Amino acid sequence: MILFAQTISDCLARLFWPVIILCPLSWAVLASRPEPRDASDLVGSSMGLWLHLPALLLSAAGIAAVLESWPLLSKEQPGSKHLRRLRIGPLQGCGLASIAGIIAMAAGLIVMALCFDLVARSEGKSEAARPIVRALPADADLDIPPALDRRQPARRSLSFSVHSTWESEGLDLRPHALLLERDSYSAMHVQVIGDGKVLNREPILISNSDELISLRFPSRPLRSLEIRALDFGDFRVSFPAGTVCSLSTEQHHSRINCILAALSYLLPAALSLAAICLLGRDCSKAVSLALALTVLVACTLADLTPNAAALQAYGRGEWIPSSGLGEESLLSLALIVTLLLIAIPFRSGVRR
Amino acid sequence: MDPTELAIEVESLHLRYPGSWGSPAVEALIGVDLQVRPGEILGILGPNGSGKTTLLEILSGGLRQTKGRARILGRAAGDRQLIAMMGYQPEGPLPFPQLKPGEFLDYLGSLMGLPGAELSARRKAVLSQLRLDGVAERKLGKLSTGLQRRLALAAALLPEPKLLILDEPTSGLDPEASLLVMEILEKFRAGGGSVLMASHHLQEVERVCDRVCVLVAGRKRAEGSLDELLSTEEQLLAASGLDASGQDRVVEAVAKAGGSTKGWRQGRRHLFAFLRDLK
Repeated sequence: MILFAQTISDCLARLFWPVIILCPLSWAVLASRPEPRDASDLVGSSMGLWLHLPALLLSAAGIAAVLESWPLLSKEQPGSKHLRRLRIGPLQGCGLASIAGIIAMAAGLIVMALCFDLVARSEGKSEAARPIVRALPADADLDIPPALDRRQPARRSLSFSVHSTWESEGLDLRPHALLLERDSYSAMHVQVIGDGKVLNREPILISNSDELISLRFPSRPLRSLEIRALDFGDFRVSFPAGTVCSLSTEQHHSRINCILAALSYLLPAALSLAAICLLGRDCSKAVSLALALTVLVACTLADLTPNAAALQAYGRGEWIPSSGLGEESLLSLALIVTLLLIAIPFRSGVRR
Repeated sequence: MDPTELAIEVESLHLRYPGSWGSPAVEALIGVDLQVRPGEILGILGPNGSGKTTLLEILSGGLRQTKGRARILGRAAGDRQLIAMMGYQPEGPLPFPQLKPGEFLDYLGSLMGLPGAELSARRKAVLSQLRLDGVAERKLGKLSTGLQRRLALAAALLPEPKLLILDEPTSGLDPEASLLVMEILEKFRAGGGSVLMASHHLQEVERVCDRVCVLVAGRKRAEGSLDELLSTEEQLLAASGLDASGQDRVVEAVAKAGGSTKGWRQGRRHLFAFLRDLK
């Protein structure tokens, strides 16, 4: 424990100046960032690389600090002979040193995120992250494809079940429409009824295929849905699976969202350290660092880890935990654990 | 330790460093045989690159030999049980410059499996033995080379080992500290402990070693007591009772005979020359 705490404090000390230098850099990047036009705007599609820079540099500094702190991570480091024979755990202590480094990096990234958020707020950004959409597809209550068609006037409505535990605040419909006759073009009008109550004040017009139709209403429990045709028009309108979604919104604090975005950079950093645990025993410190930086940048640019997506979600004001990045994070964690498991037989044996 | 059991038993030890990036493989040790008896100090002599450190690394468990057999205190070299039975002082600086000497010893002691109370007592004892009490509050990174070497020896002595393996134990030490180390080694031997030490300081080898083993280019060239070595002329020229000018004259004579002065080791009374280059 002595050394674990010492490694954390050592890494923190080594990260002090990088954080001091990188905070203004992150401010500068933020100040020059174009404002997102709307929710679909991928923030900084032109600035994306620059937005990554402060967090990536801090991660790189953290990895360098871990390499300095633990002599057995790379080959022939000063002091390594004192430790090599002592059989320090399955990874020669490299795993624990990496965890200590990750903790130190997390502290540095949180400081940077707080500075970033402070500047963002001084520029007038909302303290609340944009309402986050939770979407749950509704299930059609029919075995046949749910469709409204004037050629089958007996079926004027389609029923769906909503199996959610939360209250609904809206619906997203994306109907698939097929024009039945070339020479006529008359739109279909529908009404949406939730648990027996009409949810739309005005009839909903369906005139294009796959067009997103958003319906918002005060929060309410929603168990069943009915889409009723007021007039059929000249379309056959179907609702394939996933095209009827019940929505919910949540308010979250943007500061926490910013911290989560910053902490997502720990995943490529951890992956880099896992790569060093696997290969660093036979590489010099410089080669190990180069390997780590390559993994760090490659993961970010190739979206192998969810940090780039998390940054974009933050920029769009989406609440990161509900933006579907959990699975990607789990995949990254699985890859990290796999690398560490592969590293164990390399590390635990005596060097030849 | 069983008095009949050898502290170190090495048979036909080979180590080959594989080549990489176009550089050829290196045979660091070629068929080395060695024995260290209980209560004996064996010195390893040899020029730089002769395989001394490699041999000690294998015996300490930090490296694995390519071929051959190495047994330490009745166990295969590298056995986990040896961690607390054997002390090892490698060359080079200490790790963890941010730690204080006591913290460093505590950490190593915990890795050696020493229980807390015993570790605390042993830490105090070895720091006092190596006269390091005065630097207890300084961080390792701020200690001089000599103090770091003394602390490395303190770490080797920490588990109360039966065997010490020391790589250049007096390198970087001032004369007073060298004397202190010699006294500690003599005391350790008197207590029944065995020592294997590599050194370039022939005066110290003369003082404490019962026998010496000479390694040249990875091969054992000679082994025995100093008196035994002085009586052989096959591979090793050794002269005793020479003053400095006498030693210089021998060096000149060897040079005239076409030999190399590389590998000369001068002690207070002895002079060794490796004759591989002599015709």
